[in-house]
Amino acid sequence: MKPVSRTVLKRSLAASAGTIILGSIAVMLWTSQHEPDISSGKDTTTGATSSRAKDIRTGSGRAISKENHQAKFQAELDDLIAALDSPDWHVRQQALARMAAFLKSLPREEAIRLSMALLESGVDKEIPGQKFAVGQNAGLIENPSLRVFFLDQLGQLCKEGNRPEAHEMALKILESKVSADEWAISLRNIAWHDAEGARQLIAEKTLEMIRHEDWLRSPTNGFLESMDGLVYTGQMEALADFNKFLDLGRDNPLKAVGSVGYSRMTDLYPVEVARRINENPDLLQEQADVRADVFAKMNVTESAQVAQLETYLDRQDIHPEEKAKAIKGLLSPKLYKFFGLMNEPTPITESQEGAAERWDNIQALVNKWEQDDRYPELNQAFDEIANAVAVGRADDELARVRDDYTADYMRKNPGVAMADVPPLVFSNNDPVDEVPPSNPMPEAPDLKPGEKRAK
Amino acid sequence: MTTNNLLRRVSRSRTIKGVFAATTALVAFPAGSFACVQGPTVEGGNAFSMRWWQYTCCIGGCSGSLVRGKRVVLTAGHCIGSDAGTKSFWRCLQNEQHLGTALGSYAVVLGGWANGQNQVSDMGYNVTRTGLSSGDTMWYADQASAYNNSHNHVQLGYPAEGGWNGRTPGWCLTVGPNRYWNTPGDPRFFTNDFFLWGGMSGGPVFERWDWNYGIKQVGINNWSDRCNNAGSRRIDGEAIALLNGAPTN
Repeated sequence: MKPVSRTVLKRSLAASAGTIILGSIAVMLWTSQHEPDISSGKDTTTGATSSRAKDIRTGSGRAISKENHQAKFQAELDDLIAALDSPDWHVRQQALARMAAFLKSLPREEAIRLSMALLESGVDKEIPGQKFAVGQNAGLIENPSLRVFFLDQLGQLCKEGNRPEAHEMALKILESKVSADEWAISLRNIAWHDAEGARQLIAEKTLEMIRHEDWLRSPTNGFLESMDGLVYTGQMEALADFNKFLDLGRDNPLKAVGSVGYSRMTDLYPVEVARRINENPDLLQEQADVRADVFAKMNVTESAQVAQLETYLDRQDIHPEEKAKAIKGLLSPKLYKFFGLMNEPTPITESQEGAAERWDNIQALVNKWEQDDRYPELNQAFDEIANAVAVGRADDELARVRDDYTADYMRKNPGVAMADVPPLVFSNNDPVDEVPPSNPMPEAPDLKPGEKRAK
Repeated sequence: MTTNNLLRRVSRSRTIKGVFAATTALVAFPAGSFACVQGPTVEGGNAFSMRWWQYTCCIGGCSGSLVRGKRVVLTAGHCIGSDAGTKSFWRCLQNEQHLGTALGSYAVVLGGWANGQNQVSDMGYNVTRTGLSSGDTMWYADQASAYNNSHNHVQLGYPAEGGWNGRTPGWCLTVGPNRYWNTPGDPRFFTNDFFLWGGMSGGPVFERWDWNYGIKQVGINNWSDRCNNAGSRRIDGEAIALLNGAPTN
């Protein structure tokens, strides 16, 4: 082994010591800027005495662990911030996923502490190409900024651990209108912390948002997603705001909020929405299609909903064409399904038998109206409903014939897969119907990977 | 074959004699109606089998694919329109063999507050009252490798205009490798260098797959600028999660 000279050793030691000292200073500086004040036993993020901070000081092993976490967090954060400048969407997305995984790998209290420290520090960075997007279980699948990302992570960590920090941070954010996206995720965090107790606050704050002119002028995705709070809290007064949005230009993103708002509100509060519309004739006066869709969602087996539907049909200010659309729509309503910040996607599980039963119930109600000669101007629509119900029954019969045939064929031809059963052919003299398509499918070239086909 | 023809034939059997009289109004009824056709079964010797298009449906002026059993027709959100019931109709084909027709029972648009009217939400499904075929689920949707250019793709639908003039049955495009790519900046879409005719909206994009694992749909036809640029909404994790709530019977 080559001997190491004393000078070299000294330089080496000096360099190492220098590195350590510089590193320590850097950590201390960062800590002083970004961390809660643990030396005083106070958590500056909450203003409350922190038992967590005390715990950190009581055990040297834990303190070392904390510093390790701190350093690793800083390294991960540096990597993340660098990656967010990448032009590649996947690189940015993977970097965020890495940070999320890192936070989850930490003891929860550490992850919360570090997330809080970052949020308190004011550090932020826009994430190019990403908007506020909600995924399953109200988690964000896209984040418009670093702070929104950490607010989302903090909310999830606190939800899992039943901790108050995300709620406390949210209340701070809601004190001033800086970022609609941060408001949106904060409202979710509040709902997670106190599902029932926070409804009033969420209602007030969401209504504040929907009427804040600056945010209305250029609504961010977070702003739009926060409208879920109005549905979550059943804010009927928001129907007037939705109405205004519906009257906006086709390309205005708020227009979709109007459509989705009426649809989701009606899914959850059908009687209240219908009553509101009936008691306020100006509501949806210029939006006949939307109003018809609302009443098309009424459940004809619920007397309160039928009462509102009949009030609507009795109204003289509504054109019969719109009423016809509404009652025919009873057969096949439209719903929105999506992951909301506060509401689960609407569960829709109507079976084939359930659909048949629902249609029969609609037919029974229509029969009653006809017997009472209640809405003569809608007789044509009644006929169309009767025909549709009959066609539905015929379809059911056809399906039964088809299924019986298939089962019979498979029984007689053991080993034949269901998909290989020839189509049902009826013996008659009608022309060409069973002839396969005359034009063959074009040959698909069996190209090798990487080989290009000429245009 | 029209629905009325089919019904006329079946009405000759004792099974549904009693209901035939009511069926003639189907064409006039504006509710959504669906017809799935069964084409020839050609397998082997080609990159693509044709079996999958047995389950491609005609929905009014659009296309769709039968998924999750017999009643769920996956399509584009813009094909669902302002409500479930006003889209028509089923007769855009000739020489088809119907697996069945059915009226829409309800429709679901997979879109919410922030994307209620844009292409991200241009995806939805209709649930028919009656099952459309006697087959079980024939394909599954998968988010993986949707733009894998080493795979072949086929893009189906029933063009209501253009070269097929709406009267020719509806396989539409066979796509070789290297003709799909990511839509820059948005992983929810992929793009190809074909254009789609009106009527193909909502039709499925299938990816060549190991046949041992069945058929795999990776996208939904969404748009075309008629200049050899077309786009498809990728069936991603979100789409799968939302579809998971759809009925299977």
